[in-house]
Amino acid sequence: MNRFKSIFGYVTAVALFFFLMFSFIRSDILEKLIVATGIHPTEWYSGGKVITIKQCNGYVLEIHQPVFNTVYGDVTYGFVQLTFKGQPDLPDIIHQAVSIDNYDFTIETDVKTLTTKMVNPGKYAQKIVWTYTFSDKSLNVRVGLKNQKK
Amino acid sequence: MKTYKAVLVAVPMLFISALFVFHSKADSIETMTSNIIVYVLMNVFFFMMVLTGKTYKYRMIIFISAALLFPIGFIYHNIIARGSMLVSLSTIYECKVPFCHIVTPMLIIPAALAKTIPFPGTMTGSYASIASMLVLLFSAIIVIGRGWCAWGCFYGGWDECVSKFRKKPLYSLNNRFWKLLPYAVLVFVALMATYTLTPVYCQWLCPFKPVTEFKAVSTIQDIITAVVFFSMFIIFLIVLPLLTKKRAQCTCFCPLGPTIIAFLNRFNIFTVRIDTTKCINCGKCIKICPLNAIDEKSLITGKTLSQCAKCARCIDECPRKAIMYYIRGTKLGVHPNAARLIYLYSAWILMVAVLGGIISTSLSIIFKLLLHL
Ligand code: SF4
Repeated sequence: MNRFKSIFGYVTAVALFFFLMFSFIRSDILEKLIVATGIHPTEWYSGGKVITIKQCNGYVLEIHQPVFNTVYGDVTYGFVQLTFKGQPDLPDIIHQAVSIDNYDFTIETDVKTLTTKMVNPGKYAQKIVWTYTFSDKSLNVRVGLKNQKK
Repeated sequence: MKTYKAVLVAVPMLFISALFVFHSKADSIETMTSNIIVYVLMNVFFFMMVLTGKTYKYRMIIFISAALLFPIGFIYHNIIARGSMLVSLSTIYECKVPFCHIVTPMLIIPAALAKTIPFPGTMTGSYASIASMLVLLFSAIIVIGRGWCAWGCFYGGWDECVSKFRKKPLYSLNNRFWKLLPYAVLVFVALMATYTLTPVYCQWLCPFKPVTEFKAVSTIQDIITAVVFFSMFIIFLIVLPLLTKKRAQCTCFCPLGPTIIAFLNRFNIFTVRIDTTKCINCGKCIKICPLNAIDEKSLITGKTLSQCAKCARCIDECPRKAIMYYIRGTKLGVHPNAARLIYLYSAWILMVAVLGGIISTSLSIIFKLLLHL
């Protein structure tokens, strides 16, 4: 028994060395396994997945899934992220009506000063959370929403 | 070990380390030079470890060098990628913040319950992506357990370095408060991160922020966090290591190493054991262990605590050669050198791949900067 345990110990220790080598050389395989679990950065940072793409005059608008979800269920106040991609450049002023999942509102963004104002908040849009340009030159606006279901 | 035997044992490392050091084509003469320096250094050190039977000082030199050089490569990358060491809000909302292994305790509950990670990073394909860092950390923990904290972590060298400055300690971390503190930090950050879906430790507590990255100071909250970061840096990376001669951050504050990894370390195949038949209870190992991983009970049971990072300091300094690397299931003291060499191969590969890469990157940046002065 002791001899068996001893051999098992050495074999495992050496096998672990090869596992380590494998995990460095083919880390892509193990990374794919991690991605396959479905874990992802929280939508409160990433803005959520794009659910609608609209071709507008001189730009493309990507509307992300409204975000209310947390670990302990949906919360009352969340946001929707809007991504504007120029073709090739964005117009100086964007006047945009948005209708998504029964959230209807209109915003106006000054692309030069990166300021957005709420033109028509509708029933559930709260306020403009922020406006930023990202490294891919897209303009992103977060609009605070009140959860219709709350 | 005889020289010819040491050469035979060290030769495979020449090939394996080449795989990691030269895996991608060097884009400049500076990069090639630093790769060669790292390759030669790592192999000379490995050969010396095999030849002399000493481990600690060679490990320590690489470990400390990597930690001190890490900020150069990291900050340089951030300046190239986003123009500044500071993290702007657009970088955060673009999810372009490099992932760090110390975030891991904060993602366990949100990932388990909602498959979500409270961190503004990218899953794959970017510098320090979430999946790549998790693969690195998990593989290292599976193979060498808490050895990660002495052979792979690119932060731990800071407090190890400062802990060397004084000859004698003036204060002890060996009491209930300091022993329970990392668990308190773990529970606090894990629950708060689950509740707020933000990496609370990174936003409020991390002592390494002053040498890596933090948010641009534009609000009162930013000023408070900046003050906290600098205070944490001074307390856990300078004052406490200096006063205690211990790796204070790694022993008392990190929410990952002394808690989760230490727990998993109990099941690791490699451990450090004390041969109680040889031990004369001099207590030197208790005094010198940088992580408080040996206590009086260890000298009776022969077992180091789960906090042991297998750094080999006690092994090298034990006057009776009573402490050794050990593979679970094997007979203590029968083939101590075999256990040591098998362990060293895994630990050194980790060091070459992670810390060697960091040293090489930072050296090449230094060379480039010097040449352009
Ligand atoms: S018990 Fe020995 S090997 Fe383990 S951390 Fe302490 S000094 Fe290092």
